[in-house]
Amino acid sequence: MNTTSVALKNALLGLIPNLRAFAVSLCGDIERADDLVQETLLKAWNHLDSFEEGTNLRAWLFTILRNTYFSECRRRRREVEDRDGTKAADLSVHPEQPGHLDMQDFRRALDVLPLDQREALVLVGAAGFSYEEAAEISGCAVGTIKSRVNRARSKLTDLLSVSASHDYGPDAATEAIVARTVSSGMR
Amino acid sequence: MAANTGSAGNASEERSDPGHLDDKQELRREQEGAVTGSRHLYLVHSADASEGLPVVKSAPTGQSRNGRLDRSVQVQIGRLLRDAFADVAEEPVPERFVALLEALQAKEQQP
Repeated sequence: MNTTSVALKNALLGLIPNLRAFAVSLCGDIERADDLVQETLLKAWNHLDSFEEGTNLRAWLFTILRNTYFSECRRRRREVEDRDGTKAADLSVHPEQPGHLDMQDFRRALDVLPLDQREALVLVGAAGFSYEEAAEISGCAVGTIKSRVNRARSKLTDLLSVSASHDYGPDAATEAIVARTVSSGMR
Repeated sequence: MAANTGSAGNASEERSDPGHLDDKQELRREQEGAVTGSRHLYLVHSADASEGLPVVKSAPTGQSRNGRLDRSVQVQIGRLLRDAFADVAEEPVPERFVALLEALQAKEQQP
């Protein structure tokens, strides 16, 4: 029995739930997310020699997953932009209870963020990575991650405050489109 | 790539970081909220340009359109962000991945 492969299998199994959550936050679709996770697992298994023993396996897997997703996006860029356009239009919906943000409002607002900002926000704010780790995963400077997180936070606050105050209409949709145009989601 | 050092759950750095809302800023916002009341009025420009004039609306969470961040929304965003992630992360591992990893492991054990 190969103990290394057993240990690796168990370690990967334990990290799949986190990988799926990250993948969903990137692509917004559980089926596509699972395809990404599958591709990530295969790449990780086949390129284990490029993983430094003793370092953070979780961060390494997140890196593989996001790189896989970003290169896929570059291939399918047109489709992604179209999808984002549709989502921005969907945003101009009034929440049921003013002042209260439900998960549905939140997910829609999150999906409107440029991809790089959404990624940074999820890595730091939900997946629990430090700024330094998030920077390494995203292949950029720590300062870049910080500014992406801050822009993401203030944009979400803006979108959701407008939503929460019941003053939500074409204005906000326009704002979302402008925001995405100014800071392009793709690198 | 060279993988990271340090633990994955290192969220504590978030607090001390200058890029974030620090406690003082948050406290100041809270105090402002206490002074002005959580339901203050503010001017919004109508989305409909034909109306031309700004209209006064009530903001239940105290957020104005001038970019000042609203604390209650910030807090909700943090919570929703973690909840959205946990929603998926708490699901059991789908069978397809268990099967995939077992197949990979079995392949490795062949001579």
